Amino acid sequence: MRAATIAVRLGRYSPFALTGFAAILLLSSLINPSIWTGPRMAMIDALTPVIDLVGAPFRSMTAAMSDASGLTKIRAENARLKAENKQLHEWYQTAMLLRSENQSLKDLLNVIPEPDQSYITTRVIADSGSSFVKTVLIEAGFDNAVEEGQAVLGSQGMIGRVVEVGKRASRVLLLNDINSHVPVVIEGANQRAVLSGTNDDLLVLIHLPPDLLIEKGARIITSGTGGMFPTGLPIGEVSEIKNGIPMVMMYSDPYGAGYVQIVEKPQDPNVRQSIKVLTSGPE
Amino acid sequence: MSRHHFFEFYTLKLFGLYVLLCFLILLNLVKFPLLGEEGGKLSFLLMGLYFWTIYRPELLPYPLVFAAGLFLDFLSGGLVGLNALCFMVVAMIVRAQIRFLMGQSWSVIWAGFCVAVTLVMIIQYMVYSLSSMTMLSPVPLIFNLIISYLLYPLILPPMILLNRFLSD
Repeated sequence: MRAATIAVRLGRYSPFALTGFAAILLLSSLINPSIWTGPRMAMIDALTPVIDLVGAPFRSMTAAMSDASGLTKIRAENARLKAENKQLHEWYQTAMLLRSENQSLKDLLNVIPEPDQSYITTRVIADSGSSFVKTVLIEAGFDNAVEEGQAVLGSQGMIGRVVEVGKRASRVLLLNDINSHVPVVIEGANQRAVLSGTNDDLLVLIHLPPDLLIEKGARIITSGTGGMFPTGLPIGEVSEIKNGIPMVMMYSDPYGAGYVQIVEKPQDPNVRQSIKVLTSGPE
Repeated sequence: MSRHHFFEFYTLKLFGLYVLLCFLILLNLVKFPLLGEEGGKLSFLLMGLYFWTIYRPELLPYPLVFAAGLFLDFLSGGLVGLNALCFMVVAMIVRAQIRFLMGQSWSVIWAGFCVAVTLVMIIQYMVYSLSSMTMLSPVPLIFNLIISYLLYPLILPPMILLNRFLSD
Protein backbone atom coordinates (compact mmCIF):
# COMPACT_ATOMS: atom_id res chain seq x y z
CA MET A 1 0.00 0.00 0.00
CA ARG A 2 2.77 2.33 0.99
CA ALA A 3 4.81 1.40 -2.11
CA ALA A 4 1.80 2.07 -4.30
CA THR A 5 1.39 5.53 -2.76
CA ILE A 6 5.05 6.29 -3.40
CA ALA A 7 4.67 5.10 -7.01
CA VAL A 8 1.64 7.37 -7.50
CA ARG A 9 3.47 10.32 -5.98
CA LEU A 10 6.54 9.61 -8.12
CA GLY A 11 4.30 9.41 -11.16
CA ARG A 12 2.80 12.77 -10.29
CA TYR A 13 6.14 14.47 -9.74
CA SER A 14 8.11 12.59 -12.42
CA PRO A 15 7.82 15.37 -15.04
CA PHE A 16 9.30 17.88 -12.60
CA ALA A 17 11.97 15.40 -11.52
CA LEU A 18 12.89 14.68 -15.15
CA THR A 19 12.89 18.39 -16.03
CA GLY A 20 15.15 19.03 -13.06
CA PHE A 21 17.42 16.17 -14.11
CA ALA A 22 17.57 17.61 -17.65
CA ALA A 23 18.52 20.99 -16.17
CA ILE A 24 21.32 19.33 -14.15
CA LEU A 25 22.60 17.59 -17.30
CA LEU A 26 22.49 20.90 -19.15
CA LEU A 27 24.40 22.63 -16.38
CA SER A 28 27.06 19.91 -16.40
CA SER A 29 27.34 20.26 -20.17
CA LEU A 30 27.69 24.04 -19.89
CA ILE A 31 30.41 23.75 -17.24
CA ASN A 32 32.36 20.95 -18.90
CA PRO A 33 31.11 19.88 -22.35
CA SER A 34 33.84 17.26 -22.74
CA ILE A 35 32.43 15.00 -20.00
CA TRP A 36 29.77 13.82 -22.44
CA THR A 37 32.17 13.09 -25.32
CA GLY A 38 32.50 9.36 -24.49
CA PRO A 39 28.80 8.44 -24.38
CA ARG A 40 28.07 10.77 -27.29
CA MET A 41 30.61 9.17 -29.60
CA ALA A 42 29.70 5.65 -28.46
CA MET A 43 26.10 6.35 -29.47
CA ILE A 44 27.13 7.87 -32.79
CA ASP A 45 29.44 4.93 -33.50
CA ALA A 46 26.61 2.51 -32.88
CA LEU A 47 24.22 4.46 -35.09
CA THR A 48 26.60 5.46 -37.90
CA PRO A 49 25.18 2.94 -40.42
CA VAL A 50 21.59 4.01 -39.65
CA ILE A 51 22.44 7.74 -39.85
CA ASP A 52 24.17 7.07 -43.16
CA LEU A 53 21.18 5.12 -44.45
CA VAL A 54 18.60 7.76 -43.47
CA GLY A 55 20.69 10.56 -45.00
CA ALA A 56 21.44 8.71 -48.27
CA PRO A 57 18.25 9.65 -50.20
CA PHE A 58 18.64 13.30 -49.20
CA ARG A 59 22.29 13.34 -50.26
CA SER A 60 21.28 11.87 -53.63
CA MET A 61 18.55 14.50 -53.91
CA THR A 62 21.08 17.27 -53.18
CA ALA A 63 23.46 15.83 -55.80
CA ALA A 64 20.66 15.56 -58.37
CA MET A 65 19.52 19.13 -57.75
CA SER A 66 23.08 20.36 -57.98
CA ASP A 67 23.50 18.49 -61.30
CA ALA A 68 20.24 19.92 -62.65
CA SER A 69 21.12 23.49 -61.73
CA GLY A 70 24.62 22.90 -63.14
CA LEU A 71 23.20 21.88 -66.54
CA THR A 72 21.40 25.18 -66.93
CA LYS A 73 24.57 27.12 -66.24
CA ILE A 74 26.88 24.93 -68.31
CA ARG A 75 27.53 27.41 -71.17
CA ALA A 76 28.43 30.29 -68.88
CA GLU A 77 30.52 27.92 -66.76
CA ASN A 78 32.38 26.69 -69.84
CA ALA A 79 33.28 30.22 -70.94
CA ARG A 80 34.42 31.09 -67.41
CA LEU A 81 36.55 27.94 -67.15
CA LYS A 82 38.22 28.62 -70.52
CA ALA A 83 39.20 32.12 -69.39
CA GLU A 84 40.35 30.78 -66.04
CA ASN A 85 42.39 28.03 -67.70
CA LYS A 86 44.20 30.58 -69.85
CA GLN A 87 45.00 32.64 -66.78
CA LEU A 88 46.15 29.55 -64.88
CA HIS A 89 48.60 28.62 -67.66
CA GLU A 90 50.27 32.00 -67.18
CA TRP A 91 50.25 31.53 -63.40
CA TYR A 92 51.75 28.05 -63.80
CA GLN A 93 54.84 29.45 -65.50
CA THR A 94 55.21 32.09 -62.79
CA ALA A 95 54.74 29.45 -60.07
CA MET A 96 57.40 27.19 -61.57
CA LEU A 97 59.87 30.08 -61.64
CA LEU A 98 59.08 31.04 -58.06
CA ARG A 99 59.32 27.42 -56.94
CA SER A 100 62.80 26.98 -58.35
CA GLU A 101 63.88 30.35 -56.90
CA ASN A 102 62.40 29.38 -53.52
CA GLN A 103 64.19 26.02 -53.58
CA SER A 104 67.54 27.66 -54.41
CA LEU A 105 67.13 30.13 -51.54
CA LYS A 106 66.16 27.34 -49.13
CA ASP A 107 69.23 25.36 -50.20
CA LEU A 108 71.43 28.41 -49.64
CA LEU A 109 69.99 29.00 -46.15
CA ASN A 110 70.00 25.28 -45.28
CA VAL A 111 66.33 25.40 -44.22
CA ILE A 112 65.05 22.26 -42.50
CA PRO A 113 62.39 20.84 -44.81
CA GLU A 114 58.85 20.61 -43.50
CA PRO A 115 57.51 17.08 -43.40
CA ASP A 116 55.02 16.08 -46.09
CA GLN A 117 51.42 16.11 -44.92
CA SER A 118 49.42 12.98 -45.27
CA TYR A 119 45.63 13.03 -45.32
CA ILE A 120 42.60 10.83 -45.66
CA THR A 121 39.42 11.55 -47.57
CA THR A 122 36.08 10.67 -46.09
CA ARG A 123 32.37 11.33 -46.48
CA VAL A 124 30.16 13.74 -44.55
CA ILE A 125 27.26 11.65 -43.26
CA ALA A 126 25.24 14.08 -41.15
CA ASP A 127 24.72 17.61 -40.04
CA SER A 128 24.37 18.89 -36.51
CA GLY A 129 20.85 18.59 -35.17
CA SER A 130 20.69 22.22 -34.08
CA SER A 131 20.66 25.63 -35.75
CA PHE A 132 23.04 26.99 -33.14
CA VAL A 133 25.76 24.34 -33.44
CA LYS A 134 27.83 24.27 -36.60
CA THR A 135 29.20 20.75 -36.81
CA VAL A 136 29.14 17.82 -39.23
CA LEU A 137 29.64 14.10 -38.74
CA ILE A 138 32.20 12.32 -40.89
CA GLU A 139 32.51 8.63 -41.57
CA ALA A 140 36.02 8.08 -40.17
CA GLY A 141 37.29 7.57 -36.64
CA PHE A 142 40.02 5.91 -34.57
CA ASP A 143 39.99 2.98 -36.99
CA ASN A 144 41.08 5.34 -39.77
CA ALA A 145 43.71 7.09 -37.62
CA VAL A 146 41.63 10.21 -37.11
CA GLU A 147 42.70 12.24 -34.07
CA GLU A 148 41.15 15.08 -32.15
CA GLY A 149 42.35 18.47 -33.37
CA GLN A 150 43.13 17.51 -36.96
CA ALA A 151 42.34 20.09 -39.64
CA VAL A 152 39.52 19.27 -42.06
CA LEU A 153 39.59 20.57 -45.63
CA GLY A 154 36.82 21.03 -48.16
CA SER A 155 37.47 21.31 -51.90
CA GLN A 156 38.99 24.82 -51.71
CA GLY A 157 40.29 25.19 -48.19
CA MET A 158 40.00 24.46 -44.50
CA ILE A 159 36.45 24.14 -43.17
CA GLY A 160 36.92 22.96 -39.59
CA ARG A 161 38.66 20.70 -37.11
CA VAL A 162 37.95 17.33 -35.54
CA VAL A 163 36.58 17.78 -32.02
CA GLU A 164 35.23 14.36 -31.11
CA VAL A 165 36.50 11.03 -32.35
CA GLY A 166 34.69 7.72 -32.18
CA LYS A 167 35.66 4.33 -33.54
CA ARG A 168 33.96 4.75 -36.91
CA ALA A 169 32.79 8.36 -36.95
CA SER A 170 34.01 11.78 -35.83
CA ARG A 171 32.51 15.18 -35.28
CA VAL A 172 33.96 18.23 -37.03
CA LEU A 173 33.53 21.70 -35.55
CA LEU A 174 33.11 24.04 -38.52
CA LEU A 175 35.12 27.25 -38.65
CA ASN A 176 31.95 29.36 -38.60
CA ASP A 177 30.83 27.95 -35.24
CA ILE A 178 30.94 30.56 -32.48
CA ASN A 179 33.31 28.32 -30.48
CA SER A 180 35.86 27.97 -33.29
CA HIS A 181 39.12 29.94 -32.95
CA VAL A 182 42.01 29.29 -35.32
CA PRO A 183 45.43 30.99 -35.38
CA VAL A 184 45.96 32.49 -38.84
CA VAL A 185 48.24 34.72 -40.87
CA ILE A 186 46.99 37.53 -43.11
CA GLU A 187 49.02 37.26 -46.29
CA GLY A 188 50.38 40.52 -47.60
CA ALA A 189 50.22 42.22 -44.20
CA ASN A 190 52.09 39.20 -42.79
CA GLN A 191 50.19 39.70 -39.54
CA ARG A 192 49.18 36.93 -37.15
CA ALA A 193 45.61 36.93 -35.85
CA VAL A 194 42.88 34.63 -34.61
CA LEU A 195 39.98 33.72 -36.89
CA SER A 196 36.76 33.32 -34.94
CA GLY A 197 33.42 31.90 -35.96
CA THR A 198 30.25 33.95 -35.65
CA ASN A 199 27.61 31.25 -36.33
CA ASP A 200 27.11 33.15 -39.58
CA ASP A 201 28.57 32.95 -43.10
CA LEU A 202 31.34 35.46 -42.42
CA LEU A 203 34.12 34.86 -39.91
CA VAL A 204 35.85 37.56 -37.93
CA LEU A 205 39.56 38.34 -37.42
CA ILE A 206 40.41 39.21 -33.83
CA HIS A 207 43.53 40.09 -31.81
CA LEU A 208 44.81 42.51 -34.45
CA PRO A 209 46.86 45.65 -33.74
CA PRO A 210 44.58 48.72 -33.96
CA ASP A 211 46.62 50.56 -36.58
CA LEU A 212 46.83 47.65 -39.02
CA LEU A 213 45.51 48.27 -42.52
CA ILE A 214 43.96 45.25 -44.14
CA GLU A 215 42.70 45.31 -47.69
CA LYS A 216 39.74 43.46 -49.09
CA GLY A 217 40.83 40.28 -50.82
CA ALA A 218 43.73 39.56 -48.44
CA ARG A 219 44.22 35.80 -48.18
CA ILE A 220 43.90 34.12 -44.80
CA ILE A 221 45.94 30.98 -44.15
CA THR A 222 46.68 28.91 -41.04
CA SER A 223 49.73 30.15 -39.14
CA GLY A 224 50.56 26.84 -37.53
CA THR A 225 50.98 28.59 -34.17
CA GLY A 226 50.46 26.15 -31.32
CA GLY A 227 51.31 23.20 -33.54
CA MET A 228 47.68 22.16 -33.97
CA PHE A 229 47.42 22.71 -37.72
CA PRO A 230 50.00 22.69 -40.51
CA THR A 231 51.16 26.09 -41.72
CA GLY A 232 49.68 27.56 -44.88
CA LEU A 233 46.33 25.83 -45.19
CA PRO A 234 44.10 28.22 -47.16
CA ILE A 235 40.95 29.32 -45.33
CA GLY A 236 39.47 32.32 -47.12
CA GLU A 237 39.84 35.98 -47.89
CA VAL A 238 38.82 39.28 -46.34
CA SER A 239 35.52 40.13 -47.98
CA GLU A 240 34.55 43.28 -46.09
CA ILE A 241 35.60 45.54 -43.24
CA LYS A 242 32.68 46.02 -40.84
CA ASN A 243 33.14 48.79 -38.25
CA GLY A 244 36.90 48.39 -38.60
CA ILE A 245 36.73 44.62 -38.10
CA PRO A 246 37.84 42.46 -41.06
CA MET A 247 35.28 39.83 -42.03
CA VAL A 248 36.44 36.70 -43.80
CA MET A 249 34.59 34.64 -46.39
CA MET A 250 35.69 31.01 -46.49
CA TYR A 251 36.91 29.56 -49.79
CA SER A 252 35.08 26.29 -49.20
CA ASP A 253 31.41 26.18 -48.38
CA PRO A 254 31.36 24.12 -45.17
CA TYR A 255 27.84 22.85 -45.85
CA GLY A 256 28.42 22.00 -49.48
CA ALA A 257 31.19 19.51 -48.80
CA GLY A 258 30.10 15.94 -49.52
CA TYR A 259 33.63 14.68 -49.03
CA VAL A 260 36.35 16.16 -46.85
CA GLN A 261 40.05 15.65 -46.29
CA ILE A 262 41.47 15.20 -42.81
CA VAL A 263 45.02 16.45 -42.58
CA GLU A 264 47.51 14.76 -40.29
CA LYS A 265 48.69 16.90 -37.37
CA PRO A 266 52.04 18.57 -38.09
CA GLN A 267 55.15 17.14 -36.51
CA ASP A 268 57.81 19.54 -35.44
CA PRO A 269 60.56 19.29 -38.10
CA ASN A 270 63.16 20.37 -35.54
CA VAL A 271 62.22 17.48 -33.26
CA ARG A 272 62.45 15.05 -36.18
CA GLN A 273 65.82 16.45 -37.14
CA SER A 274 67.14 16.15 -33.57
CA ILE A 275 66.09 12.52 -33.36
CA LYS A 276 67.72 11.88 -36.72
CA VAL A 277 70.94 13.52 -35.54
CA LEU A 278 70.86 11.58 -32.26
CA THR A 279 70.33 8.24 -33.94
CA SER A 280 72.84 8.75 -36.74
CA GLY A 281 75.47 10.35 -34.49
CA PRO A 282 77.90 13.12 -35.44
CA GLU A 283 79.16 13.07 -39.02
CA MET B 1 -9.06 -12.42 -33.59
CA SER B 2 -7.91 -14.09 -30.39
CA ARG B 3 -6.87 -11.98 -27.41
CA HIS B 4 -3.28 -13.13 -27.83
CA HIS B 5 -3.17 -12.11 -31.50
CA PHE B 6 -4.84 -8.79 -30.76
CA PHE B 7 -2.07 -7.88 -28.30
CA GLU B 8 0.60 -8.98 -30.76
CA PHE B 9 -0.94 -6.80 -33.48
CA TYR B 10 -1.28 -3.83 -31.13
CA THR B 11 2.35 -4.20 -29.99
CA LEU B 12 3.39 -4.21 -33.64
CA LYS B 13 1.48 -0.98 -34.23
CA LEU B 14 3.08 0.63 -31.17
CA PHE B 15 6.44 -0.48 -32.47
CA GLY B 16 5.59 1.44 -35.67
CA LEU B 17 5.01 4.61 -33.64
CA TYR B 18 8.33 4.33 -31.82
CA VAL B 19 10.17 3.56 -35.06
CA LEU B 20 8.62 6.73 -36.51
CA LEU B 21 9.89 8.73 -33.51
CA CYS B 22 13.41 7.31 -33.98
CA PHE B 23 13.20 8.18 -37.67
CA LEU B 24 12.19 11.75 -36.78
CA ILE B 25 15.23 12.01 -34.45
CA LEU B 26 17.53 10.89 -37.27
CA LEU B 27 15.83 13.28 -39.72
CA ASN B 28 16.98 16.11 -37.45
CA LEU B 29 20.55 15.26 -38.48
CA VAL B 30 19.87 15.33 -42.21
CA LYS B 31 20.74 18.30 -44.36
CA PHE B 32 17.84 19.11 -46.66
CA PRO B 33 18.63 20.40 -50.14
CA LEU B 34 15.84 22.99 -50.26
CA LEU B 35 16.47 24.55 -46.87
CA GLY B 36 19.30 26.90 -47.82
CA GLU B 37 23.05 26.62 -47.81
CA GLU B 38 23.22 26.56 -44.05
CA GLY B 39 20.82 23.64 -43.95
CA GLY B 40 17.83 24.94 -42.06
CA LYS B 41 16.91 22.76 -39.14
CA LEU B 42 13.36 21.55 -38.85
CA SER B 43 12.20 20.38 -35.47
CA PHE B 44 10.98 17.01 -36.75
CA LEU B 45 11.11 15.36 -33.37
CA LEU B 46 9.22 18.20 -31.75
CA MET B 47 6.52 17.84 -34.42
CA GLY B 48 6.15 14.17 -33.53
CA LEU B 49 6.23 14.68 -29.79
CA TYR B 50 3.69 17.51 -29.96
CA PHE B 51 1.27 15.50 -32.09
CA TRP B 52 1.48 12.27 -30.08
CA THR B 53 1.30 14.10 -26.76
CA ILE B 54 -2.08 15.52 -27.84
CA TYR B 55 -3.56 12.41 -29.46
CA ARG B 56 -1.81 9.52 -27.71
CA PRO B 57 -0.49 10.80 -24.38
CA GLU B 58 -0.68 7.28 -22.92
CA LEU B 59 1.84 6.07 -25.51
CA LEU B 60 4.22 8.90 -24.84
CA PRO B 61 4.93 9.03 -21.09
CA TYR B 62 7.25 11.71 -19.74
CA PRO B 63 10.28 9.39 -19.40
CA LEU B 64 10.00 8.63 -23.11
CA VAL B 65 9.85 12.34 -24.00
CA PHE B 66 12.91 12.91 -21.81
CA ALA B 67 14.75 9.96 -23.39
CA ALA B 68 13.94 11.17 -26.92
CA GLY B 69 15.29 14.65 -26.10
CA LEU B 70 18.42 13.22 -24.55
CA PHE B 71 18.93 10.93 -27.53
CA LEU B 72 18.76 13.95 -29.85
CA ASP B 73 21.16 15.87 -27.60
CA PHE B 74 23.73 13.09 -27.82
CA LEU B 75 23.43 12.82 -31.59
CA SER B 76 23.29 16.52 -32.39
CA GLY B 77 26.57 17.55 -30.79
CA GLY B 78 24.90 20.36 -28.89
CA LEU B 79 24.54 20.89 -25.16
CA VAL B 80 23.47 17.70 -23.42
CA GLY B 81 20.12 18.07 -21.65
CA LEU B 82 18.91 21.09 -23.63
CA ASN B 83 16.49 19.30 -25.95
CA ALA B 84 15.41 17.02 -23.10
CA LEU B 85 14.60 20.09 -20.99
CA CYS B 86 12.77 21.90 -23.81
CA PHE B 87 10.72 18.84 -24.76
CA MET B 88 9.76 18.20 -21.14
CA VAL B 89 8.55 21.80 -20.81
CA VAL B 90 6.52 21.50 -24.03
CA ALA B 91 5.09 18.11 -23.00
CA MET B 92 3.98 19.48 -19.62
CA ILE B 93 2.33 22.53 -21.21
CA VAL B 94 0.60 20.46 -23.91
CA ARG B 95 -0.67 17.91 -21.38
CA ALA B 96 -2.07 20.73 -19.25
CA GLN B 97 -3.99 22.01 -22.33
CA ILE B 98 -4.94 18.61 -23.71
CA ARG B 99 -8.70 18.96 -23.10
CA PHE B 100 -8.74 22.24 -25.00
CA LEU B 101 -6.57 20.95 -27.85
CA MET B 102 -8.37 17.63 -28.40
CA GLY B 103 -11.53 19.06 -29.88
CA GLN B 104 -9.90 21.73 -31.99
CA SER B 105 -9.49 22.00 -35.75
CA TRP B 106 -6.11 21.24 -37.32
CA SER B 107 -5.41 24.96 -37.78
CA VAL B 108 -5.62 25.50 -34.00
CA ILE B 109 -3.34 22.48 -33.47
CA TRP B 110 -0.97 24.02 -36.02
CA ALA B 111 -1.07 27.35 -34.15
CA GLY B 112 -0.29 25.44 -30.95
CA PHE B 113 2.71 23.86 -32.63
CA CYS B 114 3.90 27.31 -33.75
CA VAL B 115 3.81 28.44 -30.11
CA ALA B 116 5.64 25.27 -28.97
CA VAL B 117 8.41 25.51 -31.57
CA THR B 118 8.85 29.23 -30.89
CA LEU B 119 9.22 28.52 -27.17
CA VAL B 120 11.78 25.76 -27.79
CA MET B 121 13.81 27.79 -30.27
CA ILE B 122 13.88 30.85 -28.03
CA ILE B 123 15.03 28.78 -25.03
CA GLN B 124 17.76 27.23 -27.19
CA TYR B 125 18.79 30.61 -28.62
CA MET B 126 19.11 32.06 -25.13
CA VAL B 127 21.05 29.09 -23.72
CA TYR B 128 23.50 29.04 -26.65
CA SER B 129 23.93 32.82 -26.44
CA LEU B 130 24.63 32.45 -22.73
CA SER B 131 27.08 29.60 -23.24
CA SER B 132 29.08 31.58 -25.81
CA MET B 133 28.73 34.87 -23.86
CA THR B 134 27.59 36.56 -27.10
CA MET B 135 24.23 37.48 -28.52
CA LEU B 136 24.01 35.12 -31.47
CA SER B 137 22.59 36.28 -34.76
CA PRO B 138 18.80 35.84 -34.64
CA VAL B 139 18.64 35.17 -38.41
CA PRO B 140 18.93 31.33 -38.19
CA LEU B 141 16.37 31.37 -35.39
CA ILE B 142 13.84 33.31 -37.46
CA PHE B 143 14.57 31.29 -40.61
CA ASN B 144 14.10 27.98 -38.80
CA LEU B 145 10.95 29.17 -37.09
CA ILE B 146 9.40 30.17 -40.42
CA ILE B 147 10.22 26.89 -42.16
CA SER B 148 9.04 24.90 -39.13
CA TYR B 149 5.71 26.79 -39.15
CA LEU B 150 5.27 26.23 -42.88
CA LEU B 151 6.29 22.60 -43.07
CA TYR B 152 4.30 21.28 -40.10
CA PRO B 153 1.19 20.70 -42.27
CA LEU B 154 3.33 18.52 -44.59
CA ILE B 155 4.49 16.30 -41.73
CA LEU B 156 0.98 16.09 -40.28
CA PRO B 157 -0.70 13.68 -42.81
CA PRO B 158 1.58 10.66 -42.17
CA MET B 159 1.12 11.12 -38.43
CA ILE B 160 -2.67 11.38 -38.81
CA LEU B 161 -2.60 8.18 -40.88
CA LEU B 162 -0.57 6.38 -38.24
CA ASN B 163 -2.92 7.63 -35.53
CA ARG B 164 -5.91 6.26 -37.47
CA PHE B 165 -4.08 2.98 -37.96
CA LEU B 166 -3.48 2.80 -34.20
CA SER B 167 -7.18 3.48 -33.56
CA ASP B 168 -8.34 0.63 -35.84
